[in-house]
Amino acid sequence: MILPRAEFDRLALEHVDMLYRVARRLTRDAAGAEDLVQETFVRAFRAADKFELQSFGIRPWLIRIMHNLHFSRAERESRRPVAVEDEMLDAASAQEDSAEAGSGLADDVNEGMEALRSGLFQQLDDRIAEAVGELQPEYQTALLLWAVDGFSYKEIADACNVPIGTVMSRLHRARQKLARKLADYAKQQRLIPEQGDA
Amino acid sequence: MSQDPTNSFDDPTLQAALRSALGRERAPADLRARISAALDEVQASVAPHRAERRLLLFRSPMMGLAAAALVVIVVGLAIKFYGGGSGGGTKLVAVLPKPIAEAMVQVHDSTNVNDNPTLAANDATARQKALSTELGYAAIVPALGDGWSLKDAKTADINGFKSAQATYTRSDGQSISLFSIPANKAYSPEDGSTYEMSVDKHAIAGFVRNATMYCAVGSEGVKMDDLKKLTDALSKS
Repeated sequence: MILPRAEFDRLALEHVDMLYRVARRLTRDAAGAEDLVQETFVRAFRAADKFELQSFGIRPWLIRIMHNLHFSRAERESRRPVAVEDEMLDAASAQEDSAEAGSGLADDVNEGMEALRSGLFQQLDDRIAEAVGELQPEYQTALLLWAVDGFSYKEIADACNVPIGTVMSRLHRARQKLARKLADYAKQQRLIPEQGDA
Repeated sequence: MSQDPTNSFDDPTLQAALRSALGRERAPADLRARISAALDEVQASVAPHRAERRLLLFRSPMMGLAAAALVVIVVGLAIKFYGGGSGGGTKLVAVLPKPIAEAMVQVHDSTNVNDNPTLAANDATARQKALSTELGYAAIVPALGDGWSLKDAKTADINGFKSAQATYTRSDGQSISLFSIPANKAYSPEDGSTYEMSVDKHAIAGFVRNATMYCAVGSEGVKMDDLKKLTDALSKS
C-alpha cells in the first residue's frame, strides 16, 4: 500500500523525538545527531513515493534510513567506528566478561537488577542514562527501541536489518552489562554493601 | 510492548527505569524548525502541507509556543534568503553538516589576504591543477567576475580533512572563500544538490558536482543573493 503524501508526512513527523534519541546514541553528540535526523527526514521525504506501508509501519523504515546514513558515513570516514558485526560484539563482550570473571559476573548482574527493583535508582535517572551511554551503540539502540519506544523484536530486527535472534542476543547482553554498571555504581556509592562488608 | 510470542524479554523494571531515564529526551525545537524548512524546500514543486506539518511537529502546547518563534525566524530567513533566488523547478536541497559549515566560516575568518597581490589568470589555472592533483579530486579556482579579485588558493583544514580554499576580495573590503570538499564528508548529497545557509552572519551557498561540494562563504557584508548568483553561475560553467 503506497501512502498519500499528506498521510506520509503525518506518519513520519510523529517520530522526530524517537529519531533524535536514537541519533544521540549513534553519534554521541548533539550537533551530529541533529544533522543526522535532518538528513534522515530529507532522505525519507525524497523516497516517500517508494515507501509502502507494511505491517511494521513507518518507524523501522525511518530508523533503517538513519542507520544506513550513519554507518555508511562512518565507514567512509574510517577514523570513526563502523557497524560492528555481532560476532565481534559477542567476542568483545566475552573478552570483557572473562577478564572480570573472577569478580562474580552473575552476582553483579543480579545485584544491579535487584538495585533497580528495590528503587535505589529511582532518583538517579542521570546515572542510568550515563550507564546506557557507555554501552556499544548497537546495544543502546536495541535497548532504547525496546524500552522507550515499545518496538517488538521483529520491529527492531527490521529497523536494524539484523535477524531476530541477534536482537534477542543484543538485548540480553545489554541488560547484563547495564546491570553490572549499575551494581558497580551502587557499591561505589555504598547504596548496597560490598562483598565482605559487615 | 508487543504481545509477539517471540518478544520474551520481559523485564518491566528495566523498561520503566529506561523510560524514565531516556524517554524524556526530546528533539530541540530548532531542529524541528530546521526539518520543517528543509522539507519545504524538498517539496518546493509539490503542493505543500506546511500548516498541517507544523501543527504535527508542535502538538504539545509548550513546545508549540517555544517553537513558534523559531519557526517565524526560520521562515523569515527562508523568505529573505530564498525569495530572491533562482526561481522555478525542483531543487535538491542538501543538508550541510553544521560542523563543516562552522569550520568553513572559522577558516574564512582566520584567512587574511588583504596584502596579497591579485593572482593572474595563468597562476589561478596552475594552482587549480596543483590543488586537484594534491587532493585527488577536482578543486576549482575560478575567476568570479563582479569585482572579485583572486588573492590566494591553497589547502585548508576543514573539520579535520584537507580541502581547497580559494580566497577573493572586493574593493569594499568584503571577501569570499570558495571551498572544494569531497561530498562524502557530508551525507553523500546527490549531484545537482545546492546549499544555502547562514552561520554567524556569514552566508554560505554551494552546489554539488561530480561528488564534490563547492561552497562559497562570504564575509558578513556579502549578501546571500550575491553569493547564490556566483555559485549558480559556477555550477553551470
